[in-house]
Amino acid sequence: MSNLRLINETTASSVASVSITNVFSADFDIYYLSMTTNDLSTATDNNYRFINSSGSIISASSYDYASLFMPMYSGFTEGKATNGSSALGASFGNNGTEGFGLSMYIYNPFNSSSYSFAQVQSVFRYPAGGNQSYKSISVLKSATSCTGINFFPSSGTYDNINLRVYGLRVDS
Amino acid sequence: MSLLQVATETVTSATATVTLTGIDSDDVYMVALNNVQPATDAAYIQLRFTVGGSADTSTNYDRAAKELRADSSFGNSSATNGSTINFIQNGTNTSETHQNIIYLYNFNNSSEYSFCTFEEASFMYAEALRGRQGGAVLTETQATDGVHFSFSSGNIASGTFTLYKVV
Repeated sequence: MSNLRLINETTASSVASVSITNVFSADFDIYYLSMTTNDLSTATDNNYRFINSSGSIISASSYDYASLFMPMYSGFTEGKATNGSSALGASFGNNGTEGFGLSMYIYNPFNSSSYSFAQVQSVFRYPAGGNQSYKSISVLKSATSCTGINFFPSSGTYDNINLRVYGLRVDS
Repeated sequence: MSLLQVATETVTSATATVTLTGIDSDDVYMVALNNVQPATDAAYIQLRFTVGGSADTSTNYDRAAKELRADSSFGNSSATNGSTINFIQNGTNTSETHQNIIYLYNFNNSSEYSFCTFEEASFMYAEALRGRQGGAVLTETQATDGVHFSFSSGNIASGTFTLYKVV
């Protein structure tokens, strides 16, 4: 049996945010998340925040991130922030039908004794006619038990979104 | 993608090294490190590959990475003919830990070099988010069968290390 276990699949259309709740638990410490077919109504940032065990989105100014934009048509650029209210987890989407792909590893979200970390790799189309790939790391600097994750674009909506969350099982 | 666990070790009391072995096929393998913390402040974790279960301590490791930093401009980190593959310095305060996904290539092939890619997310001893994204190679034509971790100084205080086969 695979040690990569599918926990949740979520699809949505024309929504301003997507919350996946009750997916992080004591069963796993590391999670893999995929996001596909993510057309945005507006070309904009794609952000994420964790959801605590009470079901509330954590929007405190406790997120740090560092990201590398790798356009396929020009030089690379850096992005970074400390003490933000969310993390730039996936960068830009598009306002067409070209699609979007993202892979993300999430560490220790449920562990109330440690910070929650994430890594993202994505590829997307922005601006029109220009493609980019993207890598980032981020941390929620709060030793809080998180049971879910929320994604939201800075403006507009997700026309279509598919999210899958897997746990990396460790058998002792 | 499917992952099959090959070996794992969870450190709960200080130990000098962690070795994971069991690579015996030409598949790609993956190592996941989580919540790895040093017993000594400002120590960085070091990766070596194993031959017959023992760390290859030669000076044949080459590495290159982009270092993402939330607190300052990014850097490039590279070295040739090193004795280890090095990562960010971690600390002993809350969550000054190391997380990493490492893919291993050609380990079982005695006619090729052994390669890896890594994606690190660390909270360093100065309480800043940093991580190296890159790759490394052991420039020896030999079969390697696992990975070996230690800190640059002192012991491994805690952490979980797991080796998976990607099938």
